[in-house]
Amino acid sequence: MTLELALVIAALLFLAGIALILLRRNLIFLLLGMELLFNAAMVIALVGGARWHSSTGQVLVVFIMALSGAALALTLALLLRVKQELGGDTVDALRHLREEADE
Amino acid sequence: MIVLLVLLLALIVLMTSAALLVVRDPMHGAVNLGISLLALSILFLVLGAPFVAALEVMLYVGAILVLFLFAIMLLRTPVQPEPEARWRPGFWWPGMLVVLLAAVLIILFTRRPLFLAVIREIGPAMIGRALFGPYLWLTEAVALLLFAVIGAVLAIQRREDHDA
Repeated sequence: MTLELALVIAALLFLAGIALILLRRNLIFLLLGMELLFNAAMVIALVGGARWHSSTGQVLVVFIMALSGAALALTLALLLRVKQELGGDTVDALRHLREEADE
Repeated sequence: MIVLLVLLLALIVLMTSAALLVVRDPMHGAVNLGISLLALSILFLVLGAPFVAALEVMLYVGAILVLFLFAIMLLRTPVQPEPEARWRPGFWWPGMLVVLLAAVLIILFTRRPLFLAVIREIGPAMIGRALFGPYLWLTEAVALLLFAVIGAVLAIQRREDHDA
């Protein structure tokens, strides 16, 4: 019962992350949604590890943490650069960049 | 009792995720994400992973969230005067979240042996043995990746043309 409820929590996190990425315009919220997606994957890996009593689930979670940290550092640096170059921190600033490139 | 605890955690995650969808200030979003991550670390403890629970608090709440806070503070434009159109006056939202987290912690620490009977723990020793045993090359690859990220961030932030 606990494992099923944990899977429900993972589904909630995944839905919230997808909704954040699709609905919000601020890039910071997009990155927060990405973190929620990584956390949903971590919950699922831990549920698998607890179900079969294996340490592989936790090892996978440690690697996911390192990967999400690396991805977040890169994207935050890109976000600061976007703010410097384009003067906005929303998705609209990036769309503006594409229109300029097309012309 | 363990089902009640996990249901409370699901409630906290649902509330903070819903708040993430509607808050306007990125700082409020970061705080809500922090509460969500704390609830998730308790969930990891319940799932029999104390090492990952500690890592969640140290890495996510301690490092990644602080990274978000730095980015938000660097991104904040000082010119817009914020017309004070806050439709949520007061502190009832974080207060409610804190009360829920406190309830979860009380349940957790009073009924801990009962939980350990349901799901057996896998301690840090087994994880370390797996990380530096069969997964040694993967661990080293991740270390190399994190080192490369430092270089990539420096390359992104480098400016050639102006105010060098």
